[in-house]
Amino acid sequence: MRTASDKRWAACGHILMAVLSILALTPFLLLLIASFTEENAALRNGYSFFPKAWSLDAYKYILQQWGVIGRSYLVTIIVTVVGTLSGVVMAAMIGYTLSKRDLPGRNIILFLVTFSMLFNGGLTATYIIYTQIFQIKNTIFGLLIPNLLLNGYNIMMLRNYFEFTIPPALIEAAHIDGAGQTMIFRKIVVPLSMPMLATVSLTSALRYWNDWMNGVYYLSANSKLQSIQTILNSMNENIKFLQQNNMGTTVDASSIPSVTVRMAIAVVGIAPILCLYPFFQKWFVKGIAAGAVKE
Amino acid sequence: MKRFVSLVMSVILVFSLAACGSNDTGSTAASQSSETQESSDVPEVSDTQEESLPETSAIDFDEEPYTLVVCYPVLSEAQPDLAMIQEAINEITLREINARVEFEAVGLFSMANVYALKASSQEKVDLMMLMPGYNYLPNFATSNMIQPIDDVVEAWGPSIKEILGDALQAGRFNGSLYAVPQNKDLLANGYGFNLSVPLCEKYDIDIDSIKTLEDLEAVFELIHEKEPDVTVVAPEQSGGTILSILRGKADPLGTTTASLSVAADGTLQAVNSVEQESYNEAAKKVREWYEKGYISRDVTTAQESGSQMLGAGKVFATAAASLGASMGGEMTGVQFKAVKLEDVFATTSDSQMSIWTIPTSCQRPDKAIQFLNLAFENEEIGNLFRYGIADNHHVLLEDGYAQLANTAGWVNNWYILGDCKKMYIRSDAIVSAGVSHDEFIELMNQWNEGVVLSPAYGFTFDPAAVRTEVAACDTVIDEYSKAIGNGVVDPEAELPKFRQKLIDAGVEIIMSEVQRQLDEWAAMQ
Amino acid sequence: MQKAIVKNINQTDIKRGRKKKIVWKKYIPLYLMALPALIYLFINNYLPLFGMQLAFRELDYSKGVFNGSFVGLQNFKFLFATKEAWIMTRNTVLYNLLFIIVDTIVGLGFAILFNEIRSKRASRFYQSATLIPYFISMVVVSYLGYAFLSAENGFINNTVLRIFGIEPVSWYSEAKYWPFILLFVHIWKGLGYSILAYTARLITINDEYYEAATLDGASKWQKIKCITIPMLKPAVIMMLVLSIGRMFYSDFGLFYQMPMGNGMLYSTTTTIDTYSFRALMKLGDITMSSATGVYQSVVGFILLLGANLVVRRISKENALF
Repeated sequence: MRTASDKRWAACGHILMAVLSILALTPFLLLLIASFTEENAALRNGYSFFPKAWSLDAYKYILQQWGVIGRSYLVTIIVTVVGTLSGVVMAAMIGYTLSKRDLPGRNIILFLVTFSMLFNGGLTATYIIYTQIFQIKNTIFGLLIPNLLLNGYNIMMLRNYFEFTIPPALIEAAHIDGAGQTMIFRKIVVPLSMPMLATVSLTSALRYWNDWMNGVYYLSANSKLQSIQTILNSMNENIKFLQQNNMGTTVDASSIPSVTVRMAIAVVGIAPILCLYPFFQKWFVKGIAAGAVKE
Repeated sequence: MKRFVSLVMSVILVFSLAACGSNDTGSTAASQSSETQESSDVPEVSDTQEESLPETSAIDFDEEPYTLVVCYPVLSEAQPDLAMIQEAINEITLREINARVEFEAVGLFSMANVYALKASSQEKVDLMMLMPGYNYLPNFATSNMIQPIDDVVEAWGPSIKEILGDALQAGRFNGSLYAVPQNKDLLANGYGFNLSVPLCEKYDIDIDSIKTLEDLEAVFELIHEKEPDVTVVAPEQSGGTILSILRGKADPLGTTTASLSVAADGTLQAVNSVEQESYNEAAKKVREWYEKGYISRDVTTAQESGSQMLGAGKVFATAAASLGASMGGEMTGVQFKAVKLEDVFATTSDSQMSIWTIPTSCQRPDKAIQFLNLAFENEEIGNLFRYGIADNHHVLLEDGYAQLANTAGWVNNWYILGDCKKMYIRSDAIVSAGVSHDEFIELMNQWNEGVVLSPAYGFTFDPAAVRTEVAACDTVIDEYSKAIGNGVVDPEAELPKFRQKLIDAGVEIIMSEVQRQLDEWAAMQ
Repeated sequence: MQKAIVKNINQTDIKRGRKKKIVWKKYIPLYLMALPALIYLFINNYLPLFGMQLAFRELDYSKGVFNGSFVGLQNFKFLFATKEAWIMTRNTVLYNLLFIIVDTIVGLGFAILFNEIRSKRASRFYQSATLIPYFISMVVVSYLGYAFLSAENGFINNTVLRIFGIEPVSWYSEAKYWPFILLFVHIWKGLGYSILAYTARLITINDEYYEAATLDGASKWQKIKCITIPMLKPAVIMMLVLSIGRMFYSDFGLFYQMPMGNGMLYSTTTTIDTYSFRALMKLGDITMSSATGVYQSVVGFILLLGANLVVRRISKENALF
């Protein structure tokens, strides 16, 4: 039953969220428009919501390399999906283990996980381990494994969720009915945690999708396994490096992509995620899990 | 529970100790090449050199062909036709020096990290190009990532020595030769201003008649009055400043803080650039220009280079450090011409833009130098690497200049390999200069003859002893130099602060260290 | 049934002070579940720890990069020796404190309000819209920032300020505005995600609690104070403790990309990470960046332990370990 007070709060919510949404969308709109702006107009007048001239040149420039870009899109999608799924499953499992307060040795494992979040041996040591011992250089694992598969923060978020949000009564009941740990995990805990699992998957997926450093170090530059972000971003960074070190004149002018191309690159980099996101949204909206708790 | 704890702890301990102790795996790890090598069992680099130097400089064709791994910088990762070009180059190298070449591309911005990682994990690399060389040479040499190559160049690089001549000095550091500078077409670039030709034509301005700064200022005033939407002057690149052009070129001696000053009796002195009168004057002048509205308010933030904006018609003149023999050029269809305000002056860093070095882990530095030597002698290698395969990646026009085609398959932005003077020239370079091929070569030669070498040419500063002060001073420089250098802030107020902060950061310590090294170097000449 | 009996017996044992018998069979599947993650953490995070010694050694590749001579704390000098160094430390800590406080309050506030909205369609729209900034990489955000803050063409100067008749400001030259600008960008980018994370927990709060409270005549404020916030307490506390552990780290993208290399903004935008990165770029010395990493880790660790201890005193179950 909704009271007047409820309605007022809802209205407040609407207003604030609407303002926030406008603030969030406006720059993105600018990004889109900028990518369709004609280069000289952009240089002369800066980015504007109403450019003086429109052009598809930026996208044409990108399409020129379509063979390479198409393949790298595929690689990135595969890496993101496989990496996120495996990573979240692993994190959920250990999160569940850690959520049991009576587990012997729980504090040690917690400490180990936390410690790993704070201390890092550095790129050199990690690189040596992965390339000398595990030989993942120039393989797809070079994109999947280093640093991205598991994240202490995700483990903690899931553990916290399992510990405080899943009613212990439910789990007790299942135990009494004779269910084993894995069955409880699969059949009860996971379905109830979809919202948090989805949130954590989102973070993980985004980290995979946006990552480009693994491609720089673990693949050689001509590798066929380069992800889309590595290709696009390293080009951008190389140009910036040139400019900042006053080396810009050493190269032929035509090889430097213009500002509008950089905007187009950004759009191309984000587009797939934005298109796919609405499909996953159903996990986040109220209504799915609400009913499950009542038994 | 307790047993579990101690079990876990001891496992971690054991593994960390094991990892620490087994660092020597690096030096005994076999190189990743499967080729047999004559001297592969000798760990010390110097021993290798002595053992494999034959009595005569004759290349041994009886041994297995050696594979050279060559790392070079790229702007973008996609280089689909590399294999093709590699094959073509290998035909030549197998024939001439009994070696194969395997090229590996390295992204420009990640060069320091990637090379460090390769060196740390002992990956096989025989030749690495550093760009910009002056950024990395001191550190790589001091940390023994690259090896001294005096002997091998002496034995195997006669063409290198002959073609580079004095420029070879630029590869020296701390008394040894560490690098082979890439032979550029121009020994050094000049300082000056590039003016937009269309705008000059619109107002009947004769660029050739501009000889002094006053002439230039008169032109600026005219343009500013007639074209209020156009930014009159901008630094050529977003990392540069207008002040550096106004002040004139000084030899930075490989530092970010010092300049060379030659005393009346010829002794070389290192002085603090920012304390000089020339800096002061230039700062006041550029501030004047900013206040008159010649310079954009966004000058320190703009991501586009001044050159790009000139090409878009947004900027009239750029303060440029890239003047070349053609004294002009073209940017996205807009012609520009240069006004040179002083003679061309070559410093060590000019020749250190792209340098070839040999990592310490390379077992056959002789083969590496043989390859470089061959590239200097045989221009076919350089042309292949720069322009790709004839009729596929480039089209050879008459008079010997090359027009690029199929850039999706192969694009190489720099003259990375070989003797530039023997290689084809890009057609656009000549077209924009408006001269014929032979005239262009003539212009280049004349230019090079007019270049003055700095008295400290060949000296590179070693910052190892003053790292902390350098890091701190560089931060202060980042804070002030672009703002003062483009007139954005008032030098009366900010320059004293800048100077004081530098002193606080330890600039005087750096100065005395530079002077000390400079004296040592001068004594050895 | 059997298990319940076993449990009872164990509790009786405890009461009598006898050593508790652990039924390992119950826990083995749990350990097995945790194993993959632990193996990964071992390989990815623990094995490479030997790399930390790079911070204490001199760089010498001819000996093998980790065998250079031991130089003690020399590589750490550049982090402390100058006034610049203290400014960057101050900036890092202050920004983190600011972000922690604002993030918690604003994140919680917006999440609670968001959940008051009944319309499903509106909810989905708001959620998608506010999440978009999260997807945009910081480099692109810095370009967009330029579009707004540019002195000559920027949206703020040309449109917003003009409406109010205020003189244009050279945003990229005035260091004093930047804490606000950076705070705004930080919130703009992260708020959608925070709302999401809190929402995931909020929707699990049983509606019955709220209905019971309404019957008792509780106002909205009271409901929030007594039901919502306590249910979120564990999450908030955990995130607080973790954030304290990262007090000496900063969001590199935000502090490096947004100012677009403008030196005049350094006094308010330099953090430990950007300072160390710039030093590395100029000097190419990886021992210095290794030293930075060790410094941040050690301090962060001490802070985390401290925060965890404090939380333990207050409410033991909420401690990290």
